[in-house]
Order: sequence, then structure tokens, then C-alpha cells
Amino acid sequence: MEQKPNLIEKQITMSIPCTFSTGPYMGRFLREIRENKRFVANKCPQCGRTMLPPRIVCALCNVEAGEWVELSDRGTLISFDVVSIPTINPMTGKMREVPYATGNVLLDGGDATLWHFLEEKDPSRIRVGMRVQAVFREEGRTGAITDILHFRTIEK
Amino acid sequence: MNERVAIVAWAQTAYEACKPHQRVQEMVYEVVKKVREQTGLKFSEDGTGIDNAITASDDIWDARTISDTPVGDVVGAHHRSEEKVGQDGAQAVFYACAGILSGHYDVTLVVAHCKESQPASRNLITNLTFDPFFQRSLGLDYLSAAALQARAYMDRYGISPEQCARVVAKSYNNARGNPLILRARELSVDEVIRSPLIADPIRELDAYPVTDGACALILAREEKAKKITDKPVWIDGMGNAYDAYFLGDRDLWDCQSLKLAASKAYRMAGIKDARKEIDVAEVSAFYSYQELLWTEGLGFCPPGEGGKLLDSGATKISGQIPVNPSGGVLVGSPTIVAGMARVIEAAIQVRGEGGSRQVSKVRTALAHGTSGPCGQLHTVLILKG
Amino acid sequence: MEETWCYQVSGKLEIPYRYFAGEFLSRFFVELRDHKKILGVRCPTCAVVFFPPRSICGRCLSPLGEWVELGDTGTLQSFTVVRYSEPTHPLQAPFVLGLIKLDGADTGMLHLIGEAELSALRAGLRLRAVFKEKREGEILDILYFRPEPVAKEAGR
Repeated sequence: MEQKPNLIEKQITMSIPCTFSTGPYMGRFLREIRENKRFVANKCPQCGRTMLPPRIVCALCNVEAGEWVELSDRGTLISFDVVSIPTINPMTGKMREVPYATGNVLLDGGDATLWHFLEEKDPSRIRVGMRVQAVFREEGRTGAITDILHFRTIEK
Repeated sequence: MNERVAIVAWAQTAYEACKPHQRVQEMVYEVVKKVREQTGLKFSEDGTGIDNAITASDDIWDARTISDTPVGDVVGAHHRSEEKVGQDGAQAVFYACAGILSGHYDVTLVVAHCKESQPASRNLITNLTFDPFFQRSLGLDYLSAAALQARAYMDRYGISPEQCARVVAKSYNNARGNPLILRARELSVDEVIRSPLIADPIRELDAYPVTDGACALILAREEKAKKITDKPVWIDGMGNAYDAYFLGDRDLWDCQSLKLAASKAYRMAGIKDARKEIDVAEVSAFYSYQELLWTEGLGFCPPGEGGKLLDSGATKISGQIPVNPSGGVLVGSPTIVAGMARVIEAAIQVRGEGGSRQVSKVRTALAHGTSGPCGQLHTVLILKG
Repeated sequence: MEETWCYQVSGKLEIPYRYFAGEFLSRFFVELRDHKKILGVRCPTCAVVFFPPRSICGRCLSPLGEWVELGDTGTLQSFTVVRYSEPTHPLQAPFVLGLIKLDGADTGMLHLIGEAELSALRAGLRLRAVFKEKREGEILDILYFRPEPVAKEAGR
């Protein structure tokens, strides 16, 4: 007879569909990507730092940051990691495919970084200080951060 | 430490079904900006400004773990002190008071936020509270749990659906004096009774509606409070208590943890007869029967007589013990925000700023919040002018 | 900041979980699965028999280990007719959830009430558990509780 387990386990998937509001700051950032394939950041009127993604106040100065600047789609890689051990994507409930690489890119024209996927997944071919450029989805951009596919290496 | 703690400023967003044009950080900034403008205070740990922030929010409601991180920037938490209370906002106020009364902080910003419109259904979230082995797969959520309590309470004491409907009608009509409640309107008992049953005996209008909103207040220790405003609202009593986790462990027709929380708050504030000494109460009733049950737990009437108290007119704005002149939670006050909005509405009453919802001659007000199913955790605060 | 930049995005929280009943609680589910037995646990200090079973008494903090066999009959304490639908529901609405005090237990258990006319539901109703044929070691090994006739009534 089949041995039934004596230690009981229950599997439950938390599954909650949500509707998220972008608000005007994230909304502008994402719309510029969707419609114009370009990056914009907002700037603190007091300390002058640029913020990515854009947000309502400068955390250092606690003032509203209403000035906008355009940034390049090219930048310098500040840090990166290559993930080999998969984890679950909480938006799909499925394991992510590995390996994948992500990095913080300091976009030209500002002092803020954007974190995204890197096209290059071999850690021996990635280095801090490397120049990278955003690759946008040509068709079917929806105003999501995944309208950017990844950053590709433009200079090693 | 013998100094008292006071609320020195507050702000609330309008409470509406959905705020599609704001993320939580923008919703919270709207109210933080107002309290900073009211007081002129900066964020500063050198004794001249706001030196701590307490935020109330929930990970699952926000679909964001460590749900206070998005609002960190707007509450001055960058390189400063902030802590999250994952409970009803009245509990966040309690916790913030403790930080000041213990001498750790001088001036604390307290905020609460929730966008109930964000998840497809509130019931999907509240189902997660329950035990995965014994309750969750039966589909229990806060609405069906409340219905179990409503039935037990109404059966035991002969509370009628009409009495519950009268609570709703009173709430909506009171809310017409509250410009922040966008749903306020004339509402008849008849319309409540004719609304469809959703979980017997609870009808659609007996249940609090899906709402987005946020609120903020600033607390200060006595010496600072007197410098910031000439109308501080003192928090002179507070208490909280938890009830059992499994619904079947409790006598659902009773609210033991509320009685315990209230008695602690009353003792601290020196209140001996709540019915006589409290001039107005803002209580968190998420379902109409709860307003009746909580008035019993707070000692405004003997056990089982919540319906009788309502029928006597005592809980009207012009009555002896007005309950929810703001309209309370039933007209729209999101979970987590609800209890803190009650604290603010009670403070408004103490300062005499209630406009057409103002109760006459308020010196002592009670604010109440609750978390968990069927009023599991209760927090009671006593405010004085 | 213009509101025209705002828009809304559909998203999801989808996270699988594995809950382990542990050695203590597994005993309950194994007895239910293998022998159609419903067990409670007794606190000797408080002289209370708890259902559902738990390993610590919440009132006096004593560790608990005295298992008590409960009947499969009980009394309805409270109930509700759920008339709305959620993916978390075990049945299509309308369905009945009830709190049932099993004979031998001092605290109520949550379960479904089946085979009952809605108009016949009232506190005090006597009920009997209906078990699944093929049981897995989980609370829905009991399909529901159905009204148990107390005495034969003449003329019906």
C-alpha cells in the first residue's frame, strides 16, 4: 500500500490582481519612454540633483522637484550583478530564467542611475565603468519599464 | 517623564472610491505638505523640528513589501528615524505617543495610507489573514467573518436589521457636514434595508465602501506643543488589547478586547464614567452592527443595549454621547487609515472646528481604531482640550 | 504637475507558498485522513478543549499535548450565507459558512453547512460532519456539516 506522508504540507498561491496608478511623475517618465524612446528625470530646485525614476520630492531637501531634464539613452555602468540562482517573479508566480544580468546605469546628462537588465550575461565581459546604451522595444511599447529591453554594451 | 503629548496639526485627503491620479507617495505628500505648512516645521533631529516619523500601511494592500519605503522620502525619513506600524492608524498614533512619552522623541509625524481600489477585491487580501489549514480554504474573509459576528450579536440581544440600517443612515447624513467625504448624501433607512444582502445579515450598505485616502498628524511633547500651536489637543489616555485569533475561541457577540483597551485608556485619562465624561466619540465601525457593539464595549451602555442607545437618540450629534459626527468608516475610510482619521475627527471636535458636524461643548473626545477580523485588536485614545 | 501624465497599469501579486503543518498539527490531519477522526486538544490548566488544535494554550501559555477525540456531531453557533464570489471560495455563491461547536470541544470550528434549507438555519441547530470518500489530510476532507434530525417529527 502506498505510504502516505505523515508530515502534512499545504500549498497555497497568493493571487491578487491589482491596478496600479503611475501618478504624474512616474507617468511622465514612462510615457516619454513609450512615445519618444527617451529618458527624462526631474531635478531638485534646491540641491540640483536629478532623480530617476522621477518622484515628487527630493528626499534630501524635502522640496517638490518640478523641473524636468532630458537624459541620454547612453550611460556608464556603476554596478552590476549576474543572477544564477532563480527566484520567483512575484508578478507571475513563476521562476525567473537564469542567468540574467542587471546593473545600475548612470545616464549621461544627470547624476541619477537607472537599474535595468544588461544584454551581456557573462560576468567576465562586464565591468564597472563600461559604456552601455538602452535598447527599446520597437513594437508594442505600453508605458512599462519593460519597454526598455535591456542595456547593451557599446564599449568594453 | 511627566510631560503630556499633544496633537498640534493634522490633514486628511478627500476620501473617495478611487484616486487614479496618485501613487501612495503623492497621496501621503498631499497631507504631509499641509501639516508642515500649518506648523512651519522642518525635518530635523537637532531639537528644532520633526525628529521622528511613524507610518501606517500594509504590504499586501500596497502589493509592496516594506510598504513604508515609497513614502520614506515624503515623511523626511532619508537619513533620519522612521518606523512602520503594520496595523490600523490609531495604533500608529498610540505607538508614536509612546515614543514621545518615553522621552525618545520630541516631535513625531504620523501618517497612514491605503488605496483599497488597488486590489481586484479586498476579500482576496483579508482571506490571507486566516489560518491556511483551518480557515483559508473555506473562503473566509473579513466580510464573512463580520457576518458571523453580526449574526451572533444580533441573535443574542435581539438587535434588528432596522437598527443597523439606522446606523448607516445616521452616518451618511452626518457625513454631509464633512466636506472630505465625497460619498455623503441623504440616505434613508429604507434604502439600506433594500440594498442586497452580501453575507447575511450584512447588506451592501451595511458594509464600508472601497475607499482610497491618507492622513497625517504631528504629535509633540508638551513644552514643544505649546510653542507650535495655541490649541494643542492632548492625548491623555490610551490603551489597546488583542483578542484570540480563531473566531471560535471568542464569544463573538462580545468584544472583550475593546473593553480591556477602553478600561486602560480610561484609567490613564482619569475617566470614571465614560457615558457622562466623554463628549463625543469617533469609533471605527466597518459594518453597521459594529457601531452598536462597540458602544457597549466602550461602556456607553450596558451589554446588549447598543440598539437601545441608538434608538434613544443619544448617539446623534445633538445627543448625550454623539458617535461618529464625521460619518465614521461606513461612509468611506480605508482600512489602516480609518482609526487615524477617527483620531483627527476627534481632534477637530476638541478644537471646535467641526463646522456643521460640530458637537457642542467638547472638552473630552474618544477616538477608536481596530485591526483584524471582527475587531481583534482595539486601540482607544482619549483626547482633551 | 499635470494629471494628464497619469495612467493605470494592470499588475499582479502571484506568490506560491508551502505551509508546513509541523509534527504537532500533522497528527490532526493524519487522523482525519486515515480514520475520519476529529481531534481536539485539552489544556489541563484551563480545563478547556480547543478546536482547532494548537500546541500552546493562548490563555495560560502551557504547552499542549493531550489529544481528545471529538464527535463528528455538533451545534451551530453562528452562520452566514455568502452571496458574493471570490476565487478563494470553495463553492459557488450562495453558500453557507458556520461556526460549529463540536460535541466535546469548548471552542467553535469554522466549516461549511450543506444540505440545509437557508430558512431552516438557526443557532442551536444540530449538525453532523459529512466526510469525503477520498481524503487528503486537509480540512475539506470534511465536505460540510449537515443538519442532524434531533427527533422524528410527526406528519412530515
